[in-house]
Amino acid sequence: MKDAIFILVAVFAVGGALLTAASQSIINAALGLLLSLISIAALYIFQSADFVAISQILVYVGGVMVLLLFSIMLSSGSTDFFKNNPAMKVFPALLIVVVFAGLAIYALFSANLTFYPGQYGPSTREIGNLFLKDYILVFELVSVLIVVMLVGAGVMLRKELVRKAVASDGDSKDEKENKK
Amino acid sequence: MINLIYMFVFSLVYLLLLALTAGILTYVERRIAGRMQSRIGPNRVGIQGILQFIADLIKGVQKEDIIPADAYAFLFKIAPYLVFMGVFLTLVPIPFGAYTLMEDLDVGIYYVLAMASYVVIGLMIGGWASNNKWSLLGGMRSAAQKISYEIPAALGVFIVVIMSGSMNFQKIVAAQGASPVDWFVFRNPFTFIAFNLFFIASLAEGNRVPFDIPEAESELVSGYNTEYSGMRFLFFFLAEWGNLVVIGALVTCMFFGGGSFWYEWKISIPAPGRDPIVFEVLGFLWFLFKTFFFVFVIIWIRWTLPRLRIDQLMDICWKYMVPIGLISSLGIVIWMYFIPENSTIDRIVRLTLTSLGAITVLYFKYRVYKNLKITKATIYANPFV
Repeated sequence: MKDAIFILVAVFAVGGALLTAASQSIINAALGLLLSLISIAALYIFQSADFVAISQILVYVGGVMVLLLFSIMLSSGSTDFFKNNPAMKVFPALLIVVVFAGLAIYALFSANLTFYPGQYGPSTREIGNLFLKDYILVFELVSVLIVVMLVGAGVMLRKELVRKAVASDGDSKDEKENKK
Repeated sequence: MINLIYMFVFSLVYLLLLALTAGILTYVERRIAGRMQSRIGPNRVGIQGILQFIADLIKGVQKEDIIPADAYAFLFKIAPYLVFMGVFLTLVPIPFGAYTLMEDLDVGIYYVLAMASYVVIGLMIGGWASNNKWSLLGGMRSAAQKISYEIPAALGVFIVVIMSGSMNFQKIVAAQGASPVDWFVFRNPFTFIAFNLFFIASLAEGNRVPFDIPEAESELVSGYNTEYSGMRFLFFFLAEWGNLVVIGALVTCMFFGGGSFWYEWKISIPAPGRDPIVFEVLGFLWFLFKTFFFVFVIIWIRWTLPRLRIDQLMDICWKYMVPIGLISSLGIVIWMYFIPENSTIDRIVRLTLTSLGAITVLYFKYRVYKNLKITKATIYANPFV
């Protein structure tokens, strides 16, 4: 039973990834990515990592995918649903494939993989303990990174900067007319 | 295998119950709206119009399922189901009783937040696939609003998680108690703030008035569901009213003591003279009572307040709720460090907050009656006009 569900989820994950890579429509590619991300969350549950699985959904589906969809939906016209994601050139594509396949194979052989832990149990408490004991430096560095990002976003949206960007962007026809 | 069959059966029961409750709530909301606007509301179908939602259902099924010519048909078709599925999935870890729940997830609250953010995708897809600029704008507004208000909601949840030391709903309910003094809402000032943050943010996430600009009729025809017809249109509304139940249940669990009406939450050992099934049923009913009280409050707010503008909406979120949430999540940590539970100060604060709450309710009642007397309004106490 478990095997059957696992295979189903794995097929969805790989299928979604294939759709992302091969689809000529950018919206289909994004939805394939969505499918793949959700399936990967399910795969985490198979490894008894409930907290990581929910984080995957919250961060990738609720955050990253929504931003992706925002940019796609607000930029692409409505008439070209199915042909707006042109194929890459062969050489860069090959380069990316080689690099990522190499990384994946390295990870596969160097990691100590165990499938199906004997029993499923909550993992939140252990994750919290590890964060605050063994990995406290990394944890704090990540939080500093996030604070820097927030401050950066705040600075970018300051009123003067936005006004300047708008003025230089619009080629300011009005000003020219005024000068005349 | 037998577990799987149980799972399917229980999911089906939950699904039917949610759909039925959402259907009945459409009727209840229209009746309450009628009372609040000095009219009657639907009262023709069945006794006092109670079967109105079934009539609406039959009408919805009969209607032609129109798909706009230039819409992306596949996405257009699945979007309502995605939205309804997201709302339905949030019900999984909610404990309706000590044992009446689908799955006792250790990451319960976190899971609910994740599913709430998942609903956004359904709304965006629905708005975009309609190939209509008002639908698209409605979907975008809805998504932007939901993403923004997830942060105050998460901060409110964060405070509860710190207080109870767990993200499991059972443990959160067990950390509270039966009497109002033990509820998280009156536990200390910061949890009270957390309740307000979470409740307001939930209203915004559920697209309810005063945060309903995604459906602003005067600007956007009807928002992301403009192009939908028939049953698909009704699915969006089932999701919306189902979401009311979810909000009510979450608030009840996290701040109002869940279904516990006895000092123990789980009564696993049947002591003599104490039947666990009776306790379970009573707890379930008490939980439902609280839930539907909050559903009523949300409906009440909807027919009382006007709609916010988009800039006011974002101001409330980013300039008020997020800073208040951040400060109070810092405050709760300090509070818990310096004031241990059941110390004298803790008890005094709890009692003061509870009595303040009671005084507010009583004063509200007094003011309402006084105003009714001054205006010499005639009150029809019988709701079934």
